[in-house]
Amino acid sequence: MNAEETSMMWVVVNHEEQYSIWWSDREPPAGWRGAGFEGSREECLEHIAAVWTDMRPLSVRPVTDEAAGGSG
Amino acid sequence: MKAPLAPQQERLWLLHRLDPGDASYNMYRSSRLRGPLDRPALEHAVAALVRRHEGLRTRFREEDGVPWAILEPSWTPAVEWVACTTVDEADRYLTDRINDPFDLTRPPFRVLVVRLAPDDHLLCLMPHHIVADGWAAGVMHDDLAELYNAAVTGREPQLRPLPVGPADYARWQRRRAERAVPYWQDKLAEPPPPDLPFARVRTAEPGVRPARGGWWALPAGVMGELDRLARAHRASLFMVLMAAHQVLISRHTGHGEVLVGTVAAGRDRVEIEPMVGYVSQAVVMRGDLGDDPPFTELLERTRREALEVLGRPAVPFEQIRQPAATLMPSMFILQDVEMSGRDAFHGLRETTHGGALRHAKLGLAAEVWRSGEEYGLTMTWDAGLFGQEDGEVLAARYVRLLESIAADPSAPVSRLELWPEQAAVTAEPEVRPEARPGVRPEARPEARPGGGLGARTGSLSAARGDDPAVICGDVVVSHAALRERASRLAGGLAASGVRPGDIVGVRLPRSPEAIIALLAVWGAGAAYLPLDPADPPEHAVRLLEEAGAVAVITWDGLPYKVLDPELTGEPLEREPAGDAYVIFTSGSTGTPKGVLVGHEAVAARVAWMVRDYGLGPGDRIVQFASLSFDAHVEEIFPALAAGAALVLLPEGAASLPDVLAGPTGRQVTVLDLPTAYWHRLVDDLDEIVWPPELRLVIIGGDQAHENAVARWHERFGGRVRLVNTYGPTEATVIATAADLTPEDGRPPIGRPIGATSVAVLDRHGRPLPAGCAGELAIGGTGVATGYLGRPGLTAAAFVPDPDGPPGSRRYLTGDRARWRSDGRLEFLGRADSQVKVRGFRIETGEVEQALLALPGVAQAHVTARGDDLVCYLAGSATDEELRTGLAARLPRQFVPTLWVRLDAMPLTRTGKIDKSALPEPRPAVAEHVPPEGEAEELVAGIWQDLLGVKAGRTSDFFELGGHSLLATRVVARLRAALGIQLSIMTIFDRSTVAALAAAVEEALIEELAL
Repeated sequence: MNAEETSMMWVVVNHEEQYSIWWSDREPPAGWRGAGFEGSREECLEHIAAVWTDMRPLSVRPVTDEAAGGSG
Repeated sequence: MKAPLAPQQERLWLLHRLDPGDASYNMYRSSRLRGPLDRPALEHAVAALVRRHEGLRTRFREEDGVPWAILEPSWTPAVEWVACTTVDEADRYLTDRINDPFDLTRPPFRVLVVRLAPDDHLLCLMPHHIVADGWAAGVMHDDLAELYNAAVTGREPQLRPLPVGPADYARWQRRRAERAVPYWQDKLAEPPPPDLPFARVRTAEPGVRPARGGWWALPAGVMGELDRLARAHRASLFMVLMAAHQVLISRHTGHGEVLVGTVAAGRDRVEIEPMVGYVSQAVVMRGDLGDDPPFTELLERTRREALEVLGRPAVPFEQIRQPAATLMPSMFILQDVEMSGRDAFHGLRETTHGGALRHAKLGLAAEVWRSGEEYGLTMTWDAGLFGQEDGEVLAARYVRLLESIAADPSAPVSRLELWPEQAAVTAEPEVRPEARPGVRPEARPEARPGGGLGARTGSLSAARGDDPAVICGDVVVSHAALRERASRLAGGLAASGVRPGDIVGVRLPRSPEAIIALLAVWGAGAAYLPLDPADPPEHAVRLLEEAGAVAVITWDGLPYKVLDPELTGEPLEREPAGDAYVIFTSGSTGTPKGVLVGHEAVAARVAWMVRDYGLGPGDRIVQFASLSFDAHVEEIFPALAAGAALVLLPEGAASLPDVLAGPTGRQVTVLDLPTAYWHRLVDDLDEIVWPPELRLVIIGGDQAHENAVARWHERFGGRVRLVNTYGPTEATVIATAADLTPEDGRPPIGRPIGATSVAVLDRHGRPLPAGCAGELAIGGTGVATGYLGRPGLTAAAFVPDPDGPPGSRRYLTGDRARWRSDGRLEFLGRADSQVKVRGFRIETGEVEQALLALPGVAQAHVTARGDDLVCYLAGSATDEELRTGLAARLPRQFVPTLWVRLDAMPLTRTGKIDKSALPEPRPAVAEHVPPEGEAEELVAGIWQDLLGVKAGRTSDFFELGGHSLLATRVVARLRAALGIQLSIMTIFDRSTVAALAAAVEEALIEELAL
C-alpha cells in the first residue's frame, strides 16, 4: 500500500483549461484553482477523463471553436 | 582433534577462501597502559590465555572442500614487542598490523605490544573474527588482566569455569541454524532493492574494499529523551535507534521496505558466557514503512520484529542464495562500553586506544556507543560507494533525525526532519560559458523577421541558401532548395485538404524527401506523426487511426489516405502554432500513447542545442535516429536552424562506420547517437575511421558506461567533446545534459538545460536534497502538451509545478534519479515496469499482453537483461509461432530476443510472479542433453554426488541448488580426481557442466604444458 495511493486528491485546472490533480490537504500552486471535485486519485482521474473533452490549451484553440463550444 | 565449524564461521572461512587478501574480518582490542608493565608476567599471561581458550589456538583445514577446525594442543603466539617514539608512529604500525590478513591454516591470533616509553605501552589483541566476537574480545581482555595480575602478585588466577568449548558450541549451533533456514527463507523472500543513501552503483566488483568513516557526538538530552520514549513503549533504546536507521534509509531510497542487519550477542546461555569464540549472530530486520506510519507505530513494529529476530541463529546467506549485500545492505548496532578507565591491570592506568580497519565489510555500518550518560555515533562506509562528504552529510542527517524524533515521536515518518526544508533543491540550469572552444562566431542563429516556415522553431535559416542542408550519398540539397521544396509540398498538402491543427503521418525512409515532408507538414500548419517504414503496416495504420491523422505521406500503399511525397502546390509557409509533432511511446495500459509536443517547446530545445552544441554552417551532422523517435528532432532542426548540413545514412545501404569511412563521412563534425550504439562503437574504437573534424558526440537514451567514457577520452583526449543527455519524449527530446569527463565515476545525466527546471520528488511529491532517490520531475518550456486523446493519463502525468510560473505544469517522468553532492543528477532506472533495452523504452506489460493474445500462450513475463528483452513463457506455442505472431503486431524492438520456457511461472505467497525465482536466461537451452566426453561426465558425476540430482551438459550448478560452500567442494573433488587446482570463481563463471568441463580441459592442458 502506497501513501500516495491512499491520499485524498482534488481536481485542479489552470488558465489554459488544462486539468490535473493535487493533494486535497494542500493549497494548489499559484495559477491553479479547484475544479469542484474531490476524491481518491483514481476517482479524480476518472472525473477528468469525463470533463476534459477539448485537450487543446485555451490559447491555441481557434477562435471559432471557442465561440461554438461556449464556456462555463 | 578436528571439529566442524559453526555456520557463521563457515561463512567467514568461505569469504577468506574467496579472497585471502581481505582483512575486513580482522578484529582488534587495544589499550594504552601507563605504569610499569611486567614483560615476563604479560608473556606468561598470554600463554595462559591461549591455553585456557581453545578458540585462540584453533586453525582451519580444508578436506574435500569442507573446512574443519583443528585444535593445536600447545600453540602459543609469540608476543610482538616493538618500540616507537611517537604515538603517531605507533598508530601507523598498529594499523598496518590490524589490517594484515591472516592465514587461517594457522591459529589466527596475534598479540602486539608497542613500547612508547619505559612506563607507557600499547597492548593490542588481534584475533580473526572466525575465532572471536565483540563479547569474546571483552572476555579476552578481562581474562588476560586476571592472569597478568595473578602472575604479578604471585597468586592463583580466579577465573570462571569453562563448561563449553567452541567445538561443542559449533555442533550445537549447526543443528539450531539448520532448523532456522526455513524461517529466514520466508522472512527474506523477495527482498526490497538493496539501495543505500548516496551510494554509487558499483561498476566493477572490487576485491578489497577500503573503508572510511567518522565519529559524531550525540546530544545527551536527545538520547535521554529517546531512552524515555523507548521505556514508555516497553521498548529498548536499540529499538528506537534501529527504527530511526530504517527511516534514514527509507527516506533516502524511497523504498517502503528496508532490510537492516544487526548483531545479536548469541550468548543466551550462561555456559557459553565465558567462552572465547565466534558466537554473535548477524541477523536481518525487515522494516515496513510503506504506509507512512507515525514513528511510535514504527517503533512498535520494530519492537515486535526485534523480539522475534534477535534470538534466532544468523541468516544462512548461502542457503538463501542471495549475497549478503542484498539482504544486509547496511547495519545498525548499539554498543555498550563499560571498560573505559577500568584499570584492570595491576598497577597500570588503562585507557582504550583507537585503531582503524581499512577494509569495509559492507556498504554502511552505523554504531551508537553508550558509555554511561555519554553517546557517540560512528559510521563506517565502503569508500568505493561513498565520498567523504556523502558520509558526513548522512551522519549529520541521522543526528538531525534523532532530534526530530525526540521532539515529536508521533509524527508520520515522512514528516520527520532529516534536512532543512530549504536544502531540497530545484536546480537552476547550469550556467554554461557562452563561448566554447570550437564554437564559431557565425553559429548564432539569426532571428528571421516576419513569419513563415519554421520561424518559431528557428529552423530553416534564410542566410547561406546555397550551402548544403541535406547530403544523402551523391544527392545534395541546399538550404534554399529544401525550403522551396518544403513550401511547395506544404501547398500540395493544403490543396489535398490538410488544415492547421491537423495531424499528418510521415512514413518515409531516411531521405531528403522525409525531411522535406516534416517541414511541409509544419508549413501547412499541421503536426506530423513520424512512422518507421520498418515497422509492420498494421502497426502504422493503428497509430494513424489512434492519432486521428488526416493522411499519411508515404511511397507505400497503406490502407489509409495516402499523399505522395512528390505532391506540389502553391508555396505555403503558415505561421507555426500549437503542436509540432506526435510521437508514440510505449504505454502503461498496454496500448501506445501519442505525446503531443508544441512548437514553443521545440523552439526552446532547438535554441539551446544550437547554442550549447555551438552549431554553425560548417558543421556536418549525421542524421542517425529513426524518425519515429524524437532524437531526430535534436539532429534535424538545430542543424537546419544553424545553417549546418545533415548527412543521411542511405537506407539499408551502409552502416554508420561505413559512412564515416567514406568521403562524406570524413567531413562529419557532430554525431548524435543512442548510448547503447555508442558503446558498441567504443568497443571497436580503434577499428573505426573517426572523421578528423569530429568535435562533438552527443549520447543519450541509456546509462553511459564509465569504462566506455574512459576509453573515449583516452583515445581523443579533450578534442572530441562528449555530452550525455537525458530526457523523455514528454519533455521534448532532452531535459538535462552533462559534459562527461573521465573523473565522473558513474556518468551523471547532468543539470537541467535552458528553459528547464528539474526536481527529485519523494512519494508525497516533496522535493528531495542530494543523496536521496526519488522521481524525476521536469518543468519549463519543454513540457509537452499532453497525451493525445487521453485526458486522465495527461492529468496524472502532467501536474501543477509549484516552482514554475503560475499555472505551469511539470512532467512526472516515472524515472528514479538522485542529486549528487556535486549538484548533478544521476539516473537510477525506471520506477515502474517500463524497461529500456538498447535505448528503447518498452512497457513490458504491452509485450505481455500481445503475447497472451497469441494462441498457445498460458503465462508470460517479460523483462530486460542487459541488451536482451527476455520473455519467460509457459504454454504450447512454438518459438517460431511466437516470433512471427509478435512481429506482425509489434515494432521490432518489442519482440523478445531471449526466450525461457517454463512449465509454470514461480509464484510468491501473494500470487504474483516471483521474479527472484526465475532462472537466469541463456540462449536457447534444450531439455536434457546428456554429458559428452570424459570431462563432462566427470563434472556431471561430481554434481550429482553433491547436489543429488542428475545434471545434463547445459544444467546450471546454481539452478540445481548449488551454492558457494558446495562450490568449494566441487573444486576439491576435481583436485582429488585430476590433480588440477581451479579457483572457486571458476565455478561461478562457468556454471554449466559443459562450460566447467571446458575449463577443466584447459587446466589439464596447462598442466601438461608445464
